[in-house]
Parts: sequence; C-alpha cells; structure tokens
Amino acid sequence: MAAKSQDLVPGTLDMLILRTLSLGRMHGYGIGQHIERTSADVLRVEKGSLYPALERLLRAGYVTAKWDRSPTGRRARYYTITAGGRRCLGLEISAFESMYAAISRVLKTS
Amino acid sequence: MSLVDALRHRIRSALRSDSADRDRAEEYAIHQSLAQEQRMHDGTSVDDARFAARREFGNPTYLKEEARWMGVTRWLDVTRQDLGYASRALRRSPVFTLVAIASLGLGIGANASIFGMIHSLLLAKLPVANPDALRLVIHSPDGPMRAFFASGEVEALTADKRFDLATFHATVAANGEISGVHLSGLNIDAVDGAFFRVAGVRVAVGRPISAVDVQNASQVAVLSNATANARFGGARAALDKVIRLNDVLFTVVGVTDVGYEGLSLGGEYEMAVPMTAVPALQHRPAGERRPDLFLIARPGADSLRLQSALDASFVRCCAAGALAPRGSRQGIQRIGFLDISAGINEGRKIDVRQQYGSVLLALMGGVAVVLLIACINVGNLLMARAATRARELAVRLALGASRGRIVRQLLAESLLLAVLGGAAGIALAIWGSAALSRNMPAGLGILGPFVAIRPSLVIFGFTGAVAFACGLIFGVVPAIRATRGDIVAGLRDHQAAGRRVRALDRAVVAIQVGLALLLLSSAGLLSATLRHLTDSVGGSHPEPLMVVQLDARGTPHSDTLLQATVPTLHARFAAMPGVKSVVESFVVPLIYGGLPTRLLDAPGFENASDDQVEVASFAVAPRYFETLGITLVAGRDFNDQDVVGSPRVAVISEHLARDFFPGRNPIGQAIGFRSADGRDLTIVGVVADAKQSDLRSPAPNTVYLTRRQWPDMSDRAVFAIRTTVPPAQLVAPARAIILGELPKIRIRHVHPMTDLLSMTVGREHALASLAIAFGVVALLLAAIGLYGVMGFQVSARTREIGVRMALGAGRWQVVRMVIGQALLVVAIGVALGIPFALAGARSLRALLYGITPFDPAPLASGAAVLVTVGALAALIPSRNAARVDPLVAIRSE
Repeated sequence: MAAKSQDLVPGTLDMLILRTLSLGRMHGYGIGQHIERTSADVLRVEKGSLYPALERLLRAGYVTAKWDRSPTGRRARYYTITAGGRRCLGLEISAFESMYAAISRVLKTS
Repeated sequence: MSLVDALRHRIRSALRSDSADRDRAEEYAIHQSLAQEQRMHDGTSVDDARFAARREFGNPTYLKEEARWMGVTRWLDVTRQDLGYASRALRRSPVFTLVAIASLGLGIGANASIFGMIHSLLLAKLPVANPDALRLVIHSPDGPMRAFFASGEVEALTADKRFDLATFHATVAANGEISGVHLSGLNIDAVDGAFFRVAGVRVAVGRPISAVDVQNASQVAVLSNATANARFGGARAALDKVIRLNDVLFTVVGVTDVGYEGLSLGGEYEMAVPMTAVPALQHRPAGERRPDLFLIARPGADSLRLQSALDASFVRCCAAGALAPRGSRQGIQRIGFLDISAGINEGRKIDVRQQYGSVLLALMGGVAVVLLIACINVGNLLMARAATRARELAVRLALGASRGRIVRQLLAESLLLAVLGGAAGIALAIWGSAALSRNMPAGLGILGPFVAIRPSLVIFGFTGAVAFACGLIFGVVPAIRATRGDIVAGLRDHQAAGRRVRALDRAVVAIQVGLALLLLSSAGLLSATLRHLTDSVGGSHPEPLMVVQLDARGTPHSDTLLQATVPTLHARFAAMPGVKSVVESFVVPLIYGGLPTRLLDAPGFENASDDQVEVASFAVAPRYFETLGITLVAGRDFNDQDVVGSPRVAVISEHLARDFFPGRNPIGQAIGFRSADGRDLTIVGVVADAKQSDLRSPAPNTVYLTRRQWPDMSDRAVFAIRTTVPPAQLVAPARAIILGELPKIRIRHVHPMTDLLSMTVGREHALASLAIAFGVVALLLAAIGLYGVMGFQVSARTREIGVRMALGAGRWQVVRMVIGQALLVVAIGVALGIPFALAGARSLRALLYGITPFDPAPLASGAAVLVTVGALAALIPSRNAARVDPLVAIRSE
C-alpha cells in the first residue's frame, strides 16, 4: 500500500484541504492539483490520503459534498467548506503558525 | 448547522452504505481519468498514462475500506457486512454449520444449566424487598438458628415498636384439600402480623396476613404463586376460595409474588397462615408454644439499641434457665445476627448448600472442560474448512482485501456460530432443566427447586459471555492462520497451505486427549467413591428389605393412637404374603437423621473425656438384627423374656466391643450410662457394625437396648420389613393397610431399602454418572479429532506412502506407521493430561470416599482407554493407507 502523507508534514493535510476549499468549491482531483501547483510541486498529495481525509472532513461536518457538472461538462463531486470548517481552519492555521514559529526558533538557536 | 450536516451525513452513510460505496467508486474513477488525461496532455502514451494513474492511485478497494473505517458508523457498517457474509458462508455448508451449532449448543447448554443451579443455590438472593438488610436472630454463630427464648421474651421483643422484628415457624405440616384435591404433607409457614412487612415479602394479588388476622386467629391463608397456579390455575382465581387444612376451613386472602418460595433455602413453602391459627389446625390446645421459632429482624439505624435489647433478653433467658449454656463445646455467648439475604440454610435435615455446593462446582468444572473440547473440535472443523477455502481467501487477498478485513470476516463467522450455539444452548438449558426438575432422579429430589432455570439477565449474561469466549477460542487461530499463507501458493495449489498446519493439528488433538484424560480419571475416582460408599453400608443388607415410616405430627392422629395401632399394623404387615419378618424400630439405617447418643459408663473408662465415651444408643425390638440383616457376632438377640422387671440387657456393636473391652469377652459385662443409675445393664450380645445415615462416617459405636425395657412414646413409627419377594411389589398393599388403620396419617416413606440406599448415595450416584457421561463425550470428541487428523495425514501423504510401498514397505509396516503416529499423539496428550488430572483430582478431594485423589488406578485405566480408542480411531485411516496402490499414487501427482 502507498505510504500516507509521506511528503507532507503530518497532520497538515486537513488544513491544506480546508484552505484550498476556502477559495471556492472544488472536486477531489482539483484539490490535489491545487495544493501541488500552489506549492510549486513541492508538496505532493497522495490520493490514498486525500480521499480518506475528505471523508473524515465530511463526517466532521467541515465540508459538504455534492455531485455536479464541471465547466467541461463532466460529472464530478464538488466539495464546499462549511462555517464550521472555516472556524476549524482558523484554529488550525494559528496552531500551525505558533508551532512553526517554535520550530524555527529551535532551529535558529546555535 | 454543521452539526446537523454531520449528523445527516452519518445517518445517511449508515443507512445507505451501498450508495456511498457507489459514490466513492465513481469519484475514484473520475479522479483516475482526470489524472490520465493530464498525463496524456503532458505527452505520455495512453497505456502508460493509464497504468501510471492507476499505480499512483493505489488500491481502490483499500481506499473504499479506509473510507468506511471512519466515524462511529463504520463499525456498524462493517459488522453488518461481515455478518451478511458470514451467514451466507454458513448457509453454503449446512452440515458443518449444524454440527458446529449442535455441539456448541450442547456444551453451552450444559454450562448454562449448571451455572443456573449454582446461581440459584449459591449466589441468588431472596426475592424480597431489600434482602441484604434482612437478618436472622441467632444465639451464636455455630449454635441453633431458631430462637429458644424464655416464655414472654419473644412477645416482649416483638411488641417493642422501636424494632423491626417478626417471628414465624417454617414448614408446619398438614394434610389439606384444595379445590377438591386431597394433598398430604402440605408445608405451611405460620407467621405473625409483622412477618410480611419485616421479611419484605410482597403479594401479587390480595393482601398479606395482617396483625388483625393474628390477633383474631383468623382462618385465612396466603398461597404461594406456584400453589395458586397449580391448584386454581392462577393467582386471581385463587382469591377468596376456601381450602381445607386438616379439616379446618381457611379462606385464601392473598397470593405471594412469583418466585418467592419461603425464606428457607430450597424451601417448600406452599402457603402462610396466621401463627395463632395453628393450634386449631393441629387440633392442639390454644396457647401451646411451639419451640421452633425463627426470629427475623431488619436492624437499621437502631441496630445498636436492638443488640442491647437482645443482650438484656439473653441475660433474662439465662437466668430463667431457657438458655443455659449447653456444655463446653457450644457455649452460647451472646445473641447475634445472621445475614440471610440468600435464604435461611437450616430447618432441613440436609444442608443443601454445603452438600451440593462442592458437587456443583465440580460439575461446573466438568462441563467447562467438555465445552473447551467441543470448542477445540469446532476450531478443528473451521481449520479444515479454511484449508479447503485457502484458494478463495487467496483470491480475495489478491483482489485487494486487507488481511485484517478477512480475519474480521472469518471471526464474524465464528462469532455468528457461537451466538447461534449460545441461543441453542440457552433454549436447551431452559427446556432441559425444566424437564429435569419435574423428573429428578431418586436422591437428588432435594435439588429440584434449584434445577429449573428461570430466564434472567444473569443467566443470559453468563451464556452470552461463554458463547463469545467460545467464538474467540475456536475462531481466532483458524482465522489468523487462514490469511497467513503465501497468496501465490494458495492460488496455485490449495494443498500447499494445508501442509504446514499438521504439527498444530496434532498439538490440538493432543490437548483434547489430555482434557479427556482429566475427565476420565475424575469419572474413575467418583465411580470408585460410589462403589465404596454402597459397599460400606455393611451389616444391614439392603435387599430384600422395605421400610415404612409414619409420622403423626401435624395430623389429627395423636401419638398415643399411633403407638396403640403399631401392634395391629405389625400383625397385618407380617400377614402380607411374601413377608419374612417385621420389626418396629425408631431407628432404621439410612432413615434416621441424628442418632440419639449417650455417654457410656464402662469399667476402666470412668475418667475418660465425654468425647471418648459418647456412643449411639437407642431401643429396638426383638428380631431387629435378623430383619435388618445385621449379623449377630456373639451372644444372643433380645427376646420376649427381656421385659420391664427382668435384668436390663444390652447388645453392643463389634467396634464398641473392641474399643471398650479389648482382648476380653464383653458378654456378661456390666455397663451403664453416666449420670444414670449405675452400671445396671448386662451385655448379652455383640453384633456387626452398621452404618446409619451418614455413609461417609465410620459406623458409630452403638449400644442397643430393647423397647420392652425402654418404652418410648413417639409421634413417629418406623417399620422394617424383610421380604422373600421383591419389596417393590409390597409397596401398594402396605399403603392400603396403613390408610385402612390410620386414614389421615402422614406417610413419609414406603420404600424398598434399595431406594433408600440410592437416595442416600444419590448425590454420589448422580455425580459419578455425569462424570462418566462427560468422560465419554470427551473421549468421542478426542477420537473424532484424532480420526480427522490421521485421515488428513494419510490423504496428504498418499504419494509418500506409494513411494515407500514401491520401495518394498509391506502393508503391515504402513499400518504400523499410521497407528504408531496416532499413538504418539495420544501419548503426548496423556503426558500433558496427567498434571491436569492430578489437579482435578485434588479439587475433588472433599467428594471422594475410600480412595485418595492420587490413586494411580483411575489415571492408568483412563490412559488405557484413551490408547485403545486412539488406536481404534486410527484404524480406518491406516487401512486406507495400506490400500494405497503404489502405481496409482505415484502417477497421480
């Protein structure tokens, strides 16, 4: 089986998905593409992690899913962030930033 | 909002997991095709792009599973799928399923019934309000449980409104006529006005017996629910009906709750009446005090005050002589309380709890081992099934199912089997125990009330836990092993997976053999105990002898009338055809509970302690020894010249002669009883030792007296009748004679002596037969296991055997090889079983008689039986092996 989140900082995938969705609704493939592109292909989203993560967010009520037509006319399942998802995103971002700052401080101390 | 969404999503996905699955499948497909397009756009070939997209995407089945594994619902969801799969798999092989459910059902059912008995005998509490607060007032921890107070003391105590005290007499006997049916020996609790409140006994319909009833000595009765159901077809139907007790009319005013069977453990309470109505009922003068009174209390916050009131009463009772300390052995120190939340364990000749507790625990161990063996067998079947399904499982694994998921599914199959087995077991236990309690084997009748299982949470919980444990025991190992094989090998050749399992199979069969040895050797010990006990009756030969016991207590007949009728009865019994001799005696072996004892005064023993000179002593009629078959060793029997006025004579038992007259001839010696008129008894005869009621104790040292010189007015009469025909033929005529002379008498026994004997050893008999049954079942299961393993081995090694035979091995050598391997398994099993068997025997120690727990004979014979059966079980596989045609065998692969 494919290793999960090997290329991501563990625990950040949900945050990245929510951040992506906060820009507008998107289907699963699009989410993965968006994350990879905006990170200039540094972050790789394994599909084996993406869909379970989306399922998790759905069950938590942070996103909703709906089948719809894409601009090219094909059927796709679109995910939309909910109000709860935005709240969660805010919390996660601030938690991540404070942790990031802490890690940087540790790394910079000589 | 989001919460509602989440909830809706969960509910929807739980209900419609199929549509959720379709959603996922479609979504993954779209993802793949988008990725593929992207790659093609980047310039990869169609095939490469598709392959890369697929590889990148990973295992879609796994992803779907992963998606389902989330949230609260995943468990329900997956379990539902697993169960569906399991039930389909079980339906596909109905024979296997039936065999497994039947063996589990029998095993679990046996466990549930024994546990039910243990529960109702040892663990259950009285079905009264707050049973834990209920106390019996007793004189000392090892003293009598009934209250023996000076006159007026009980009345003063119960009249004190500060305390919750009540009194009752248990099982006052009476004959009755209820809804036209004549019933002898009804058991009636005589209660005071506070009884129902203090005991916490509730009525289902009507009202309890009130203080006013007691004050007015009203002729009213409260029936037990069982009595009301049996006689009137229901509690309501019984209300206001008139019943006849010893020709006195009583009105039914209430019926107690279902399940209440009196405060006595295993009690036979059928109804309660006001205490003050008893004299009328028993045709005795009003105001006569019955000595056997139970005093119950609910000491709460006032327990200290109640204790001091009882202490004060105790001092007054001692001063009045009602509670004089009775010898040094049981000094009464103080009045105390006894927790009777589980019922009063007294008032019956046999202490049920003590006598049968150890038996039931032994039985529980036995049925648990049988169940373990049955589980191992079902596990074996499952393993064999897994071996034949290796291919199917390999295909499923190759298609992307995770190993964990397949283990789960196989486990679900086992647990489903276990649940079905458990359901069958509890149905069997409830139905079987009800049937058994209606037809208890002779001698176990006393256990009747405890046998029938009432469906309760405890019983269901126990059965459920046992079934679940079984499912895990027989399910886990096969499930894990089934998925451990090499997928490729499994796909190619399903025999390959089977080959590695042989060592484990043999180990499992060896364990079965070991457990069978444990059960067989226990059965051997218990049958030896039964044999020794039956042989130990000694002296009195049970056959052909009949015993008749009559009781005037609680009947309109007076003891004077009974004793006056004894000569008539004696003559009429003697005139029955087929009767050799008749003797009337108060004490007949196996009937009388506690023997009357006296302290012997013999030459040379003037300064001996009480314990040393305590002997059994009672009066018998002439020809007692002859009739009961007690051999006269020396001297003579009593005769018609030994009457009041002539020199007093005694016959002593052989053991007593040895103890008190070692090396001397006791005939003609003078003996007496301490604190009596000196040594005025002359020994005229010595008879063989005869056991009385307790076959486990040695025969008591006995001094027999003659009734002509020691007349005894008793309300009971016991006849022993020696016959020349089978005594069972005389039971009906004897009954007719008795009822012709004394129509209302209570007949406690009309039994051939062999029945009495089997009643006396009923416990041992039942235990030994059950142990043998367990042993046989274990033996059969082990034999089946061995047969299966050897058969599998022979078929798996056909080619090897063919080669051996081609190279010159004879048929005999092949047979010897197969049987030798089977015997090796048995030998390992026996070696494994010996420590278990010894531990089992140790725990049975208290139940054994005449044999030590470590006696090698039962162990050796158990091992011999196992070796024989093992060889027999290997016979058919070995014959098949010998029939192998070398040419066919070698060509076949």
